[in-house]
Amino acid sequence: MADMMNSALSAIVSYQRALATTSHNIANVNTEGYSRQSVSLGTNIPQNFGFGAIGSGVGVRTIERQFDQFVVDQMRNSSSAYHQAQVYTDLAAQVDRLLSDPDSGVSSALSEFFNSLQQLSDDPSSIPARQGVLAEADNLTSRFASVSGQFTGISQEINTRLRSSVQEINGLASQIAELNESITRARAQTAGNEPNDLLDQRDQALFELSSFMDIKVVKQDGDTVNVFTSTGESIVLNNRSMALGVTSNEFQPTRLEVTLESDSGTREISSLIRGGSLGGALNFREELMDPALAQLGRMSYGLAEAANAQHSAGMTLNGNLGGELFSVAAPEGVASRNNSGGALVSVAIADTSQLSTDNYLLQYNGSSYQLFNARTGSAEPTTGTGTTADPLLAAGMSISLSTTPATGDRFLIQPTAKMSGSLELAISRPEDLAAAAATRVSAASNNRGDAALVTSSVIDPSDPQLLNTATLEFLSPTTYQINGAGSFTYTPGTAIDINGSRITLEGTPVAGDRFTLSSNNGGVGDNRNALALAGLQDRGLFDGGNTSVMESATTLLGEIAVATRASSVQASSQLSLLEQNVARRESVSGVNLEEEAANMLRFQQAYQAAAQAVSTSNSLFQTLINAFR
Amino acid sequence: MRISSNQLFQQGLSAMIDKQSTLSRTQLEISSGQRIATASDDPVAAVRAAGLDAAIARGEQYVKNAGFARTRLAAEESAVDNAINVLQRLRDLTLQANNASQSNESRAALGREVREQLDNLLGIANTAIGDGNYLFSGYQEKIQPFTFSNGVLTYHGDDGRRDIQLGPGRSVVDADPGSQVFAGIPKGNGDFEALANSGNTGSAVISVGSVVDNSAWDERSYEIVFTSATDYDIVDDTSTTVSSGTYNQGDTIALAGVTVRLNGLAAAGDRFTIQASERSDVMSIVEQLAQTLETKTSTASERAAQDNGLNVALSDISRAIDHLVEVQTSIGTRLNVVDQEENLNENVNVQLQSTLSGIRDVDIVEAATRFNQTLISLQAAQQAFARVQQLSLFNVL
Repeated sequence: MADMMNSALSAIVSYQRALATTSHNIANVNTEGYSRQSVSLGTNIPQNFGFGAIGSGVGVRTIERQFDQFVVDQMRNSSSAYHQAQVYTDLAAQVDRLLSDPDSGVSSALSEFFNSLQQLSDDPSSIPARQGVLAEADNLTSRFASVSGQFTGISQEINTRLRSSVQEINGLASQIAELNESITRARAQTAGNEPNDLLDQRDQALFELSSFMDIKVVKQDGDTVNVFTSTGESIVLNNRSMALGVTSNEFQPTRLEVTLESDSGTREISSLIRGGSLGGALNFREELMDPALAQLGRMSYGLAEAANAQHSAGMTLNGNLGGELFSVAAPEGVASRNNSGGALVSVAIADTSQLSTDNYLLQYNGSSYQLFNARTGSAEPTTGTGTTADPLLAAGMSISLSTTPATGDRFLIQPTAKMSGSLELAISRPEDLAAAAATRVSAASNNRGDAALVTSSVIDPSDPQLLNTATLEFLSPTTYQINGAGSFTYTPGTAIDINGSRITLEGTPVAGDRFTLSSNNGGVGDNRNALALAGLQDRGLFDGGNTSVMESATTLLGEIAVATRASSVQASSQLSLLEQNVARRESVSGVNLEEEAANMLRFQQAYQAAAQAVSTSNSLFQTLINAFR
Repeated sequence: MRISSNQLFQQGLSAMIDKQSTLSRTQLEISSGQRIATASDDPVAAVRAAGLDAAIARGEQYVKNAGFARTRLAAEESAVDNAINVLQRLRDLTLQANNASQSNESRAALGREVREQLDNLLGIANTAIGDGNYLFSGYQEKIQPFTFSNGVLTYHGDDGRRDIQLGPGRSVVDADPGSQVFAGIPKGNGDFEALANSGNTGSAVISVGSVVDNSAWDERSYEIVFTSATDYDIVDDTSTTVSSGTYNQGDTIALAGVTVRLNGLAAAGDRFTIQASERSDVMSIVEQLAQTLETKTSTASERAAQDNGLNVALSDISRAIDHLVEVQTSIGTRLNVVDQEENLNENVNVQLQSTLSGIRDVDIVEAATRFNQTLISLQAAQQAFARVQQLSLFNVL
């Protein structure tokens, strides 16, 4: 009888445990990272008799956590890939929206600016048409400023993201380190039983950490996990976590970088972080933002340079030379704050058509300079020695240093990035717009030959003689003199350069025919310079003269659109991968209430049956007692 | 496959969220009429659309430019047309004056009309359009191009011609400078002038003449010098006598590839000059005519001088008319170019617009259908979610 009673009691105790576990499962149905637990039952050691063994009931063997390590690892990987693409898309979409909108994009403003110059060429002395050009130019500069301002805003947003991400990563890392310790202790205390809930918590913390960056998780001794970045920097070692931090970039104080404190000191690890929201933000900054700013700056500079050159070859409504139409910031070179020498670097644009849209790092090795592309890391060949008299020439830039730097000193060269928002209109009065060319040519009224002017234009606005009157008189149909001196050969259709102006005549002159080159003072109906300015729309200014400023603008739009599109496609495919992995995990580890309800019924019935067995055992015992009464 | 309760809930939820986001996207497409909201929706199409937008804006600008050019060319054409009418009237007056029946008084009356027409011509040459912009002063459109005093025309403008762009690499000059419309007219027959010396005592009148041998005409000046009433020498600009001849009334005299005809009696010492055409202007030509008409004549030699003057005026006015007609033709050609380019740009723009629409515009029927389908499937997802969430074994325990 005692056996029966013992067996029944063992069942009651076991099913109590099973019901408790079911209840624990039901309670944690909505707990993030919870893995359902199941009670594994086993028979107790039977009692052996001569005729055989009689079972002695049931006992709880273990309480198992239902999980699949492979799926858990996969979830972490897809989470960091998803978060990287998602953050990249979020950031890129801000710029994409701004550039795509015709009311805020750069291409539409450029097109309107050039059209307003065409409009001016129809009626160059009209003040409203001139105001139209100034308004469109103003609009253009503010578009550049607003796109560049958007990037500044994003750059600050990235700084904020870095700060808060670093805090959260530190919190998670120290949580993981603590959990490592708790788990080791729990295992020791329970003679090797799994501390299921602690393991779930650690997996959840690792999962959350992977949304910030790509991590490698390495199990040690079966108890603890060590966490590394995917590039091998340790974040958690056993029960110790390393603190991440932020510091300003060695060249740019407003740009934050991620640091890692380890036993060997604090190091910058921005370039070692891959994946996750942190990796996405850093990627965006380096791969999209830096080149885009440089591209915007290059457009600003190229437009200003070409427009200024043309504008200064023109004459204003008041008869003054045009001067500059736009102003733009200078190229920038900064010394690293870690430099031991005091050398300052100065950068100038030597050839706009050779400019790239990259930034460069200049390094001094004690005897010579090396120039590296900051994005690709590839070395850029240079000529020159780096002095003011013999500057380093590379990629359209001319770089000179104030003194010889110390060995190992580094400099960041940003040829155009800082110009992106700096384009400004240099004139404010409509009269100051130079729609006319600075000089004009008139044929004498009594010329008898049929030589006629084809074109005249200003080729060197800096010529001191530019506005002086010069007379070209033909000595014969094939020779001419200038201001009564010299004798030059005339070939019809060939350009004649005088005082910074270029004249082209055609036809046959007669001796004594005269053409007078003079200042175009009063030539308010002249539209040659306005047309020449409008013609900049199609002039190849960049990439060896192959890319116009309009093409640059559409290229930028396309590059950002493609990057946004690619990362958004990446984000949605990684999201569905993540969802699949979550579904697989849920399938193994998630709590199903129907299942728990059914289990509850099952365990309840077994418990009731066991209780009945106790009761039966009791009544059997009573029967026996009564027999002896 | 085993499904957790959470998974069941999440699946239903994300199905609804997906449908909602598709719905909102379709709604945006329908309300904006555009398939591409931001460039990243379709980068290739967005870049093409940006290029097309710029091309269309430029095409529209070219059409505007053509409008400006047409206004100016039409104004110039009407001014030149007026000037031609005036000159034709003056040619009629000259023919009328060149008649033996005219008296000094009647010629003076004709001279007064010529002076009035001269003012008229000056007014035409100083035509201004728009806000005080002179049509014929070249680049200096704020400056009145012509002043005329003491019989001398002064041009204050320049030779500037304004190109108006009508298309990529195509442009048209929207007005000609006054120096080339009203001046620069070759006098005489266009090749040379045949002039009588003012001191001639005979009554011979010289014709306009013509070039008969272009290769022999060397554009130097020659004089026909009468040594007697019937003998003449031809002297070149180096005072060398190149030939001699005898003169009978009505004879055609040939020299250096040109021929001129003399009518009337010559006297010893009379001189006639043949020189390459000088360029003059409309006003000076008319002034010359007025002065000729205003000169009183009594002797035969004076009348011959007047007849010579009227001959010169007649040919000069004809040259002026020819010159203006040439300008008029060139304006007409340019107006045609303006029309053609305008049509071309408009046609190209229609094509570009339709290409752009194909790239960027939403197919509204397709979008509306998609909207309805999504709406229906969202409703279905909602109902399915509600039904599934009601199910629980706990409800029946």
